[in-house]
Amino acid sequence: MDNLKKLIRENKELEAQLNSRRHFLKECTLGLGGIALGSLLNSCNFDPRKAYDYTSARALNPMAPLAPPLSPKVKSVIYLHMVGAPSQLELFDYKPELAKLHNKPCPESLIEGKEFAFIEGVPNMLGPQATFRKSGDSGNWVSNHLPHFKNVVDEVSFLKAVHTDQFNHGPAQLLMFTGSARFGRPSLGSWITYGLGSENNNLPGFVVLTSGGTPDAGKSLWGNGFLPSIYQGVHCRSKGDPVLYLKDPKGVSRDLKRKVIQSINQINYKEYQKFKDPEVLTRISQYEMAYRMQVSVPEVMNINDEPDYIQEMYGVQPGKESFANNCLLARKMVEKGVRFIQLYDWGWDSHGASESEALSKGFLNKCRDMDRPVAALLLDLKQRGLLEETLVVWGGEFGRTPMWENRAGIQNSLIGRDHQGEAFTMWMAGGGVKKGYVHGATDEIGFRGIEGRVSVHDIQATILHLLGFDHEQFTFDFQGRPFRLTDVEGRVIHEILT
Amino acid sequence: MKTKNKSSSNAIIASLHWFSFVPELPGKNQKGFAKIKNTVATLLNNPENLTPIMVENKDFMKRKTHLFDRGSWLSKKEEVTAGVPNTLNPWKEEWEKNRLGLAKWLVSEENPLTSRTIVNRIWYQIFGKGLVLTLEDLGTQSEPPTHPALLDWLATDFITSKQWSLKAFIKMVLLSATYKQSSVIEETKFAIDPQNLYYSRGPKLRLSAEEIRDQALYVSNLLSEKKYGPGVMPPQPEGIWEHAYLGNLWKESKGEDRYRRGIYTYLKRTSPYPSLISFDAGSREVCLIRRSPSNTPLQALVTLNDPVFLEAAFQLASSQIEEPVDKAIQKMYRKALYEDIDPEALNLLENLFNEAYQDFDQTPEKLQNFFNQETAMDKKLASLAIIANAIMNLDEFLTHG
Repeated sequence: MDNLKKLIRENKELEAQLNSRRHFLKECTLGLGGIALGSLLNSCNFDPRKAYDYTSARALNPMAPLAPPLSPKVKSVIYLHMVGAPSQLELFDYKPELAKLHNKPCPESLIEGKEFAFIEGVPNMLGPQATFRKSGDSGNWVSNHLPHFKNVVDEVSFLKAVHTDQFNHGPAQLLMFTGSARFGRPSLGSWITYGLGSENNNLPGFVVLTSGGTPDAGKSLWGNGFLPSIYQGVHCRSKGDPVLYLKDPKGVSRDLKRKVIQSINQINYKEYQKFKDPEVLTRISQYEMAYRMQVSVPEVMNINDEPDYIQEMYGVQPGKESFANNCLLARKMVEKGVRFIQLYDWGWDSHGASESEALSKGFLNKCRDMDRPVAALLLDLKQRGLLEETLVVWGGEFGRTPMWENRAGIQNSLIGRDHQGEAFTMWMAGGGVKKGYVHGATDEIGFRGIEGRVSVHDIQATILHLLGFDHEQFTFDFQGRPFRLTDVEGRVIHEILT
Repeated sequence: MKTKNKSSSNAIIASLHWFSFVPELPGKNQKGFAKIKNTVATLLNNPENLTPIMVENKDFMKRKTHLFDRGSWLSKKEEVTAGVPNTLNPWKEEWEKNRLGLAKWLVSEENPLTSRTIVNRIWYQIFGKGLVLTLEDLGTQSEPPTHPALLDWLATDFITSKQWSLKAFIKMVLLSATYKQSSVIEETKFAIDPQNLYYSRGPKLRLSAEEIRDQALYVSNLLSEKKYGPGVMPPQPEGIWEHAYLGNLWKESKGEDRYRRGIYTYLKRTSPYPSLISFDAGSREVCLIRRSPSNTPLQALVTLNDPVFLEAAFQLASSQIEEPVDKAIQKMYRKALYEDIDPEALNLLENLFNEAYQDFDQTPEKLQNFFNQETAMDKKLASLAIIANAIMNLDEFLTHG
């Protein structure tokens, strides 16, 4: 940035900050005489469209909703990540030629100089372990493992030739969600809440829901990296408190808690009158918000109030931790204005080294548990008119090989495939995304992308684009240089956009 | 090494060679070699707890460093040697080409960057912002200093009259008129300078994550003063450390290790300690010199509901249980905030005490397991614990200045 631009920016920042603080002081202290547990921040009428400024002006309310710099297609994102990397060859990428090569040795030319996570020497090829049918009006291929998904196939745009340069779970997940295979960068959801804030003050803006287990790269997948920590994802748990420390202590009733917070806020307000530090006002409002969150989070996390036919449609299991429950929760949260909802479903690492990891066994259970709720989620969003303002993304951290895994050179006793970063399938659906579309293709055995290859950074650039950001302009200065989610790469996949 | 067996001692030395690439012990044919060799092996295998010390590699062990052609590590180009950036102070011929030389270069009087960086970082710790706002970067891409002359004076003074003494430097800043100003914000000044870039008032800062924990433990007399040793695992909610392959590896510490200072809390980058991370401690994935203090509802939930803070509140209340209620509240307040409570606040807290007391009077079953405590509880103690919990959530408790 040249000096003049920098000066203008600084001046604007200063002005914006001054305005918002003055405004806050003027408008927000009026009703404070008795400090009723009113919604302090909401009464302030922050105009989100006024100041486009990520730093100083938001100091008082860092989650205030902001308009993105460009015109957005969607308001929120639901990202469904199948942890462990589901096999594209058994779900979406139909390869009849591969069937002909089943159990025959892999041609050496294919694997020469290639590195795999487990495959050693010369493995055999493994034909598709599914039957495929052209589905919907679009006639796109869907496997028999996904009977419900067939009904919504016309809603999605497939990306058949996604590639990543990581072939182990942790680094590949980090690359997918932070743009770097190494620790320390802010996650996708953090970037988005940093850029857009949240539309619901009583719920976190960036929610993470897990089923089956914690992803390999842990909480770094929803970490804030070098962004302010308020933008980290909040893991809403199915067991224990949905949000940490949400429950009142033993022996403290709601009524008593309200009185406790009132007393704290009254003394804090006296403190404000003495010091005139606006941070104290912020603290007062945060305590009120905490009190409200204690009600609104369990409320939104409760799926029992949903009508039977909705519960049935998703196939929920109330009281348990399940992917179906999380899909329904995701819809409820989108409805309430949560900006970014990240689902992680663990257990898709189908090596064939154990029953739970076999394509003929555990994988089928995973398909069954994923198929119905995902289809239900798309339909449910659609019937509520939410699909047009929501982006739904589905994928894994990489794909799986067309070869039968031979761990340590011996073919695995159960049917499974090794990790493959070179080509795998993802899909997107929702506002601004073409319906019933396919972009990209792999070779005859699904080993390499031959057309319309897209990278992990391209996916990220596209998600940001749909939310109204130019991924090259959306930066944060840290340790002497601007950083962005897509590092120095990424191209918006215009082919799948309407 | 306990054994005198020659062959086994040779085996150990052989393995040491392999591990540390020590060259063959010289003087193989000289008198007393076996004895010396034995002593060396004994030293290297000392079973006592030792503190490892990093030493510089010997010349013959140093690796060669090459430029990579367009960044590809597969195609090496010319070999490069250690040096310092041309834009900074030059390297004097007489300096050793090793870490000692680097230390001399770093603290050379011709290198203003080191002392500027140090004084700027301490200034940040005291005032909440550096004289150069971008602490991690004092270069061409950084923010310009708000007070360049002051920064230079402090940096020079730090080297010359303070002789690099941090203590002397901190003392000087804390005794300065700038620091001793009141942190009351005057409306006219605020309108001109909301960020206090002109330092026309004293700083008012939120405590760091570790300080907030330590302070709560300290005022309730729980804080352990034990120093050193490996990290500890104070209580945290169930399921935080659940790992896909390894299960739950968080083994809650016993005894005083539960109450060690925050800096001793075990850190796992992929699963940081939740109450610390809520208060912006960072997960240590990247070096974070400047934490950005946030003010969130999740923090309120920690200090209101985290069992660590509940226990602290309960202990603070227990220490004053013999006092009459108003005295007990006054003493708890004084202990936590280092000042006397004003009548209005006392009145508010007395009212809160009465509300709580009535509540427990009407429904005594609430005293069962109150605040997760196993000890027997009476109405007064529980109500005082409620007050202690409220005091530990006051803005004044969480901030300083």
